[in-house]
Amino acid sequence: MQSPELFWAMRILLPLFLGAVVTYVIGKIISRIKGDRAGGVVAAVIALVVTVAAYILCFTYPGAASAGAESGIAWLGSLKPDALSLLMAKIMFPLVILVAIYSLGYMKDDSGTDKYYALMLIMAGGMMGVVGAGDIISLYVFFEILSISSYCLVSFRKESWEPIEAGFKYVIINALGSTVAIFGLSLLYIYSGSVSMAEIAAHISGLPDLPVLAALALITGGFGVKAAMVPLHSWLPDAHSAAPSGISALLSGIVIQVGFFALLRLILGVFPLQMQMVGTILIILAAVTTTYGNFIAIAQKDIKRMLAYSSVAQMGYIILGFGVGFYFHSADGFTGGLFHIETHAFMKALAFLSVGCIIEKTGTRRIADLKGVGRVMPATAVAFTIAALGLAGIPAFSGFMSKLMIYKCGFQAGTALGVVLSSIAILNSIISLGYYMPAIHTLFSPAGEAAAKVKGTVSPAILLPIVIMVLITLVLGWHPDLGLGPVNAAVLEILNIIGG
Amino acid sequence: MKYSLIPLLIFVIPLLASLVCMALKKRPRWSQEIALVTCLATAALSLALVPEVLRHGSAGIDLAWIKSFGFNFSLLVDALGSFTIVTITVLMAIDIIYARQYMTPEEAGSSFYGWTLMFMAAMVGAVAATQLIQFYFLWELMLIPSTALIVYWGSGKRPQATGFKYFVITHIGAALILIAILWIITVTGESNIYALAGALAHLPASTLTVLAVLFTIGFAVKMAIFPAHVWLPDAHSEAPLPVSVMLSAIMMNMGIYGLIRFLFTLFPAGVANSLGLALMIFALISQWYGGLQALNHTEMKRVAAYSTISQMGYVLFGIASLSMLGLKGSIFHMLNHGTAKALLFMSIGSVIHSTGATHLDKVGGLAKKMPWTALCCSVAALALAGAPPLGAFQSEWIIFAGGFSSPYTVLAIIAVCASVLTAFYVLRLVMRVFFGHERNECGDINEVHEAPPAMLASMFALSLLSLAVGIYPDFFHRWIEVALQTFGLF
Repeated sequence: MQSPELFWAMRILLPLFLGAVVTYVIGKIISRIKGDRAGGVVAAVIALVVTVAAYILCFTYPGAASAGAESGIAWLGSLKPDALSLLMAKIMFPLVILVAIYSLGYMKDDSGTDKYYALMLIMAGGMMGVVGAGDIISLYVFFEILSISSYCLVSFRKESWEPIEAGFKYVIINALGSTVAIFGLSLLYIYSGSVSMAEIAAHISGLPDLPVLAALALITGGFGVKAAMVPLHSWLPDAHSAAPSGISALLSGIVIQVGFFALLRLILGVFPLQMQMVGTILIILAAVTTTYGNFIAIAQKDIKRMLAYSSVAQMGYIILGFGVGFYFHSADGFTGGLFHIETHAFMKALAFLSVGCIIEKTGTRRIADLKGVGRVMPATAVAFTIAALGLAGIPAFSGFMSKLMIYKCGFQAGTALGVVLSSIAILNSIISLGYYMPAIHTLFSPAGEAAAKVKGTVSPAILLPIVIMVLITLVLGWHPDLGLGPVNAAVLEILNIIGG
Repeated sequence: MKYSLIPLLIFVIPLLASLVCMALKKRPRWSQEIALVTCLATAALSLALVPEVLRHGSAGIDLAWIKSFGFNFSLLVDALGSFTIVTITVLMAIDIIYARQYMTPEEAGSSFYGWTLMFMAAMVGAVAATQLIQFYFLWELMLIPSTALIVYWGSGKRPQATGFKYFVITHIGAALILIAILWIITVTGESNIYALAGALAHLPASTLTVLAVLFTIGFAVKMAIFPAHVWLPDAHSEAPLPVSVMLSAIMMNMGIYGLIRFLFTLFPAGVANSLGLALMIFALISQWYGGLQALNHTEMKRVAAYSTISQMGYVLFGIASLSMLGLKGSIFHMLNHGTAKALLFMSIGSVIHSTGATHLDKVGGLAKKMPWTALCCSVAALALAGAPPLGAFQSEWIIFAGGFSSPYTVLAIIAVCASVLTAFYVLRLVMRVFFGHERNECGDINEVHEAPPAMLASMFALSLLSLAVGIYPDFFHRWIEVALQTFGLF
């Protein structure tokens, strides 16, 4: 019998980090012998094998039933995976796999792609570490691993200035966030004398209010930067639009959600008594984040920046779900928030991947220049349309189902505040049409200059992940039960912790 | 409820057929045949459902859908639903026949038929839906196919912008409906439309009024009641003709259905009463505004589009009179307006098809060259003007009678005067296009020819339908009376 901790360490983290090393070393050797492109392909194949294997291993998760099995290894205490971690793993792995396949086609002309895939595995490992962390040190360290690998990936195409600048901004603002967060974590350590979340939580009820609140504020601020909550979001539009599209998909689809997840883990693990207050803070931040993100997205001329701001807005929805969940103690809020993480991951990745394909073919990111592209690359443009309509919460696409739950949880609270929140969320979905529809409209307008530049067909490696994500978006839009299994398990876990 | 598979079939068959059409990308001719067969089969099935509904009150089926939300996918058709569905499917079948010759299969492409069938499936599904969320889901599902039809096959200068406007404005209406729906579900815990009446009766009057206002505005947007009409003229006039028919003659019925279903079967009678006067005023404004605009425009399709706004004013007037007669007339007008408006659009379409002219001042005296089209167009015009013995006469006078039985006799008089305006603009269209000096400024007058047989056939079918309903309305009266009995309001 295996404990979940050992499982997480040996079957999820170890393959990813070891795989990163193997990917890099073998990729490097091959690229020395056979050239850069061959090295990249080999690295991609190794990375794919590793992620697929880890993904399959996910399904052998032993579960809480065998949690009693003592491993007797001291360092395993730093991990504490549960159903929530498993949910994030089940969202992250397919996303990484699809992005890796996409990158095979998308990055084939770049140099040094052996490093690219290795970094991607480190990033995945960092994320899995964060979601499985059981003490504040491992949480912080894994988060830094995640951050550093994503800085590198954002600036991966270092031939032009923009990614460098965006990466630099990303490093500085996120380092600031990390500093603030570790201040908060240190406060917790000073007052409780322990790094394990369970032990801190046991101590915390006896502590004076001020340090606890200070720690909560610092942690919310610190991880708020990573989760791109307005007004701490300013790094996101630059980083997400300058990164290669596959990486934008990962950043927007899962990395900022992991940032929020770290905050969630700390709230659940350390501050269960301050639930109501946390709920209030999250609700306010969420309402501001969604509205701000949507309005600024309308003003964007660059399609990737538009999608990046849309990620800010969508983070608002996710946070709103959790805020309502904490404030009103509603299971539906958590379900909505978690399910939106799941549906949004695939919709936003789909949007970025299809846009990446369009940008690669036309060489421009200005929305106004993309006239008529939909007529020369119909499959990609239709995929983008599906992603955009899904993100706007139009029925028949998965985004509707998850947003519906978030809308519903506000009404379910039965108070004026809940009704107002849900109405804000619904009206925001309409506002978001204000930028998705013109973008779709431009793509399908009569042909312009950019459309004339499009030559050749899209490679199957790019098309395959796009098609799979379209299918996921449509299937979850008609039959959300298929994606709700792990979500419900995770919600049960949350309710266990907060005693609902 | 009688267990019956037909409500499921008339939703699933067009939906599957639409996917098949989409898949047959390279073979538009096959899609055309598939669409025809599907539409005829759906119309036949929905007609076959009528006796069962009249005998048992309602018929339907209950399936599990989203277990985690506790929602079912259950379809149920009662007398009101079956009247709406029959109107939709029969008009759609006739429209598809018309489209066969209006657009060649290559012009239309497979996806035209795919989107059309999906549009029909969504409409039928929304009418038959019994769960609130299911209703909203299918209600919004109408939006994507109809927008695609406007954008891809639209003829105006900027079909994208038109489609965009249509999508966003009707989506705003839908969002209000969604707010009301979620509110109801959470407050009452009941999500079955047919079981809500009891649950809602316990709510405070203020909440009920807010809910009713949300629903009314939401459906009024779909009905294009002034001032929510802004999307309609562009969308209906720039869409290709078969799509204009779908929007103007068929989709409008969805707004009417929704308003009647939600306002009258869900809420206690007092709520609707409190809205009556306001609705009546908006109805009158729409009626007059639509009529005057129709008179103001010379583009033929735009005249027909504004006429739809005006006609929806009639319907809303009947609903707002809050009387048995008015409501009966409004329901009946779904079929009659649909028939007459489809006929008007189709005859305009034949004129455009054969002359290339889109404005009524560019052509004249076409009656000699295209006598049958002229006849059909006159039938449509007379029907819209409310002349006996055509179908629309039967419903218009009931609407007015309903108006006079309401306390606001003055408003009813104003409404009756609007029918003079209607007669004026439709007959102006017929006179200018078909009578007077023979001319065609957009092409050679000698090349003007009668509409091809399939187009004529569908126009004849509509004319006969209008005539038959006008001469023998009894059956329809009984049908609608059964529908009204379930309301229990009067």
